[in-house]
Amino acid sequence: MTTQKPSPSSSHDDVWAILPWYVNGTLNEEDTTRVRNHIRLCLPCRREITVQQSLHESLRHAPIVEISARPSFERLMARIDREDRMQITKTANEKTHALRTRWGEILERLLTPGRFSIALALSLAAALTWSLIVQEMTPEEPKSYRTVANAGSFEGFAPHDVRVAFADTATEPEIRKLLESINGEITDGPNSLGLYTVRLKDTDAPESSYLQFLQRLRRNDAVSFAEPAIPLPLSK
Amino acid sequence: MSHATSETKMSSSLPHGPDEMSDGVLIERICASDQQAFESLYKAYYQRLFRFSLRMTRSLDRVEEIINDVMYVVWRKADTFNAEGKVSTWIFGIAYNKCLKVLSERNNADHLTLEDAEDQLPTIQDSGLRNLEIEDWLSVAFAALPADQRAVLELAYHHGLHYNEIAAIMDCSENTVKTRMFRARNKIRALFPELSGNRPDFHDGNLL
Repeated sequence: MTTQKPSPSSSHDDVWAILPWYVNGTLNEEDTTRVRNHIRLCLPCRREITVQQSLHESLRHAPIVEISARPSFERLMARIDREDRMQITKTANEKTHALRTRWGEILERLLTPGRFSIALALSLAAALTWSLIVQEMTPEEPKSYRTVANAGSFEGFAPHDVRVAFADTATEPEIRKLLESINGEITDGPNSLGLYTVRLKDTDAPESSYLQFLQRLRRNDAVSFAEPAIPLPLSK
Repeated sequence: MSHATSETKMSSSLPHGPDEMSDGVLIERICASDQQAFESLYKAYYQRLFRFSLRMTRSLDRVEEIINDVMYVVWRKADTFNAEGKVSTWIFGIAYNKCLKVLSERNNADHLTLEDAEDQLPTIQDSGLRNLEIEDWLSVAFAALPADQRAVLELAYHHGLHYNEIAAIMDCSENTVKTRMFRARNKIRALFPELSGNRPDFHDGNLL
């Protein structure tokens, strides 16, 4: 069986196509050798290498304006922070709605239609009034990146605490199993927004263990939201 | 740009980013909502993404939006990153798609015809290519190229990437990368024949 040698023009075409990567020094050893062997005999390719080297040098060393990344980064974090707060509010509203629906079902079973209507109306009015009052009284959630001004809003939390919102479909056994698997415990909650405080039991654990603890909470289907209670320190 | 600060300065040096191993560590920490790690990664990639987005879109007012959209995806989707690949490839792949989206939102074409590009050149016959500022002729050259060819040139020559990595970023085959580069080279040669020694020296397949 004979193997067909590549024609000179196809070899030339192949080398021509990869000259830019010969110039930028990223070709593997085999291709580099192939190019070097070819350009010994090919003037157009040698000229083209000169052209590409000029282009390469120009693009590598074209002056650039260095602009501080900090203002852009802060705008991005503000956007992320806004979205996280909206998610917390949405989760709390969903829980409130679920509570109202369950309460309404209980009243429907206990009361006659007439009394039920009055009781339901009064209950809903009371619940709505209460939730409005609570929302007014609820302090603004601290920014996920701290300033000196809001340092005091983390009072009451330990360094290994995480604020957690459990999914509506999560059952108590599932939550208990999750906490056991990650060596965590609920130390507080739910608050007015439906958030629990979950703490890593080993309070002397290194930060890497805490980060794993947080990651496992976020990835579990029983958890819809998990954020450090005390934000992780920013770089200076 | 609105966020240009007193820290702006001219530099001819290439921006240096962290190596691939530390990029991977930062992504792992970002999965755990580590904002310090995210800020480190953001700063490490900011200059490179700035330059790449500007080269691609030629639109300074959209650059910050593109960078922040890219890094927003990194923050939200860090846990989807495939650790078998390179972080830089992943991030630049997102950036390339964001740039294409910005370009597609424009009503006008994303590049000039060769004739229009030539009109933008100063009298080269008199002053010669050498007297042009590098940024001037690069700007004209890039304006004459479509976005995919600009991307290949920039990724190969400024970012020093192999064609297989460029293919991963642009989500195309290696042959497509080579073809785009081939066409870009031809167009630049047509615009600047001086680069070839004062005469067009198109590839004609002949050996010496």
